[in-house]
Amino acid sequence: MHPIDWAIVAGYIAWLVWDGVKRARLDHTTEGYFLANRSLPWWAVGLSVMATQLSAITLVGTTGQGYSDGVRFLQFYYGLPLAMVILSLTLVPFFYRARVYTAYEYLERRFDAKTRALTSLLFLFSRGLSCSVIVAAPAVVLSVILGWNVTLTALAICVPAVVYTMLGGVQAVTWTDVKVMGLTVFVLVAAVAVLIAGLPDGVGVGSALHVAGATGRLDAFDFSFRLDETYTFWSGLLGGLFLMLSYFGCDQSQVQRYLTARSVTEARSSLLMSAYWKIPLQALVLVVGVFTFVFYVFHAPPLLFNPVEEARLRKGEHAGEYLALEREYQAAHETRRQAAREFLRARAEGTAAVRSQAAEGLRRSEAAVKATRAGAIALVKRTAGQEKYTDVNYIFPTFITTVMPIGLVGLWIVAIITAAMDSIAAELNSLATATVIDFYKRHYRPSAEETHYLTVSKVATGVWGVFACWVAVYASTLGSLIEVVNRFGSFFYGSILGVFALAILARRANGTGAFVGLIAGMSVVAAVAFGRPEISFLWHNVIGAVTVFLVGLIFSRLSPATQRPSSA
Amino acid sequence: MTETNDDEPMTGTYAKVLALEVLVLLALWAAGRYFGTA
Repeated sequence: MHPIDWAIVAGYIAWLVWDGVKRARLDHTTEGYFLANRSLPWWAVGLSVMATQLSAITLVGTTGQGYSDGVRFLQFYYGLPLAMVILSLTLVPFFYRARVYTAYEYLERRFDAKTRALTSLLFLFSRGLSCSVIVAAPAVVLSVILGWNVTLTALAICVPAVVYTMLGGVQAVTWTDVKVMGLTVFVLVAAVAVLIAGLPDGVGVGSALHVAGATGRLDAFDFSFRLDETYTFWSGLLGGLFLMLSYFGCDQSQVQRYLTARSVTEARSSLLMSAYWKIPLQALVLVVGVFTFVFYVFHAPPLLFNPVEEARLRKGEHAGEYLALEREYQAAHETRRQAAREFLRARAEGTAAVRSQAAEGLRRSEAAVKATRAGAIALVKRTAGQEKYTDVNYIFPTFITTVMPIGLVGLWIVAIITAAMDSIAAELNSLATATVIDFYKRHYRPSAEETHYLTVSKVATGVWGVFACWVAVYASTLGSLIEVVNRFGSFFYGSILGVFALAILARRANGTGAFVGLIAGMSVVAAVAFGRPEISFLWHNVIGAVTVFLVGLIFSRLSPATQRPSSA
Repeated sequence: MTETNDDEPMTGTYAKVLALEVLVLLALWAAGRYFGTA
């Protein structure tokens, strides 16, 4: 990396940390530290909600998915706007008026202490793990690109985030999120501009999109109702709806964002910002990946985007096999490049039959390129013993370091680092909140001085930060990171949503029913996940929520009525 | 503490959110059809 890029990375991170740390003077109570005294404007909270969800995994993994599969992944978010409307009508006013610190606190008022403790514990477990994966994504990328040790890289990401989150609390988290979202949108738009500028003469934006479309990369809809297909219209609309309801409505890392808003209306508006902008923003991320694909149709791509694996194969005992694959790949790429040129010529001049034939030729040549690349990836799996190896997460980072101009490289690297930092910052902040409010204050020290709780809150943030870094080192060896994060969550998300649905929709539901329902929901999801692995994880959310709701209702009827009046 | 107690009805906003989603999905579908057809 050029010294200018290094200066951009160091300067931007230093600015974020300095600005976050100076907000420490605003927090003298736990309400200030965790909820900013419920004083933040809706637009800042809304950007924070979006930044928390948009992590480095989005910038690294999703652009790679756009390159490999096109915009298909967008279907994952089709249930999001409806989820935001439902939450604005239901859980947001419930939480806000109950004046809770955590979503799970509400469950004790509605049901009992054990239901609160279990849901909060599940949150701590799943978010603690996902937090580590969020650190691992950029740690892997930077370790490969810069040749850094993974542990040092994880620490370089974690330590600044832990410092400003520990000292500045939710104020630091939110205002960092605002800055990072601005940077993220800027680098995405700049990437599209660089990619378009890099297209060869005679290939404009329209032509590039036609090449992408002819290879199926602009298909944002798959209407097949298949439970084994992760990204379809139905899994996104229904499974995604349940996932988003649970993530934005029952996950403390998101609930805490909108509890910082000035009013119920502003809390709702902050969520609705995602309803308006999430799909277009995600489309922009995927389009960057799609344009990267088109760029490499006309410029020779590496056979493997992971330079470490590439160097290992090139020098090792399998060098002959790898070089043969590389020659095959170069020939396949050249055939695809000519097929793309031919396709564009046919589009401009040919009849419908000629155009169709040219498109078919492009698809055939693309299949040949893919097959050769699959052979190289299989070689990595075989020789490195990494059964889950995927090259997807290295595609766009390689483009950044090899094609982007000086300055933009630094901005992209810092965007990846800070996207991870702001996501884990929000999660560390919410993990500390649940730890202190749901466990320490509730069970261990119910009546201590505010200053004591504030100190404990800062210590809890630091401890979770250390834990996240430690696990991140192990998470860095997992496969496609984006799916890993979602898989962690989907084991619990649906079931936790079922408990909140019981709390709000079923007046007869009681603590025993909710608790038994929750156990049953998680058991059924685990049974499905292990017994029928072909069923996509998005459906786990539906299965978990429905099971909890039904079992909870049945057991509430069977058990003695211990229902508490809702305080909301 | 700067909290206010306003709780404005937002039915119109919800309708706009959902209508916009339908439009965005239609635009995506149309773009896929247009660029995906030789």
